Amino acid sequence: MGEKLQITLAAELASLSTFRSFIDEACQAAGMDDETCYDIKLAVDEACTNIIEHGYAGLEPGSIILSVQYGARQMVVRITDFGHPFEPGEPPTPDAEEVFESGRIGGFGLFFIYRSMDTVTYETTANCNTLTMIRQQNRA
Amino acid sequence: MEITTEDRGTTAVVSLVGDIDALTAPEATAYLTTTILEGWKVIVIDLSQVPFMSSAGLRFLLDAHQRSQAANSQIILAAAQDGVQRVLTTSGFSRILTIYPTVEEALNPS
Repeated sequence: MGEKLQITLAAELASLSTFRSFIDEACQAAGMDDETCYDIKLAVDEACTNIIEHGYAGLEPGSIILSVQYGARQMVVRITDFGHPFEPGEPPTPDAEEVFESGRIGGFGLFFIYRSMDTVTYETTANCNTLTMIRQQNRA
Repeated sequence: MEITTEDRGTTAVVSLVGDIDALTAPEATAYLTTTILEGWKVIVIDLSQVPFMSSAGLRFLLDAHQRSQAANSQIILAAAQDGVQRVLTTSGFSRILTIYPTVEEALNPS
């Protein structure tokens, strides 16, 4: 299906803005609307942040491969890393009132990944981990 | 990230320019921490030039809210762009934080 684009960057927080710009360009090329584009950027940003902060924790700095394939009002995003497996299981919806009462925050990253994308799958092999996320445009 | 403060009497308008992600949120947190200690009665955070905010931005806002409460000051958010507003809404933060559509409305609430 459609065009495929790929970028590989160091697994560091400074790469996040480049990953988002990459998604911006892909969404523009695919004719995605602003809301869909923001949602995909949010999911990619949260997933890459998890890989950087948790997947490569205690390991030599590695890389993240981000690829997108689009066509027919759909975008498939694949994020591959070579760190620890970190399966982003779907969390319960975070309770904002509880967050402000306790002062503790967590789970919003995964919440946004699942809320922003239509399907989320995770695969680990001996060599790498791949998160595949699919989003239709104007799913409402 | 570029951050500036405008003196509006007892109110400070803090304008953030750029995305708030896991890289830039600590910078924003450090800036707001210092600003809160300056003793403003109200701090308006102008989000009009923030095109993108992730969950790292929620952590920043929670921290700012807690620090302001401890200092008897108030944090108000203003002028969030559509995507950032949706992050605030879907997270539930918009139910708790005070948010105005524009900086002027935040400065002169009806």
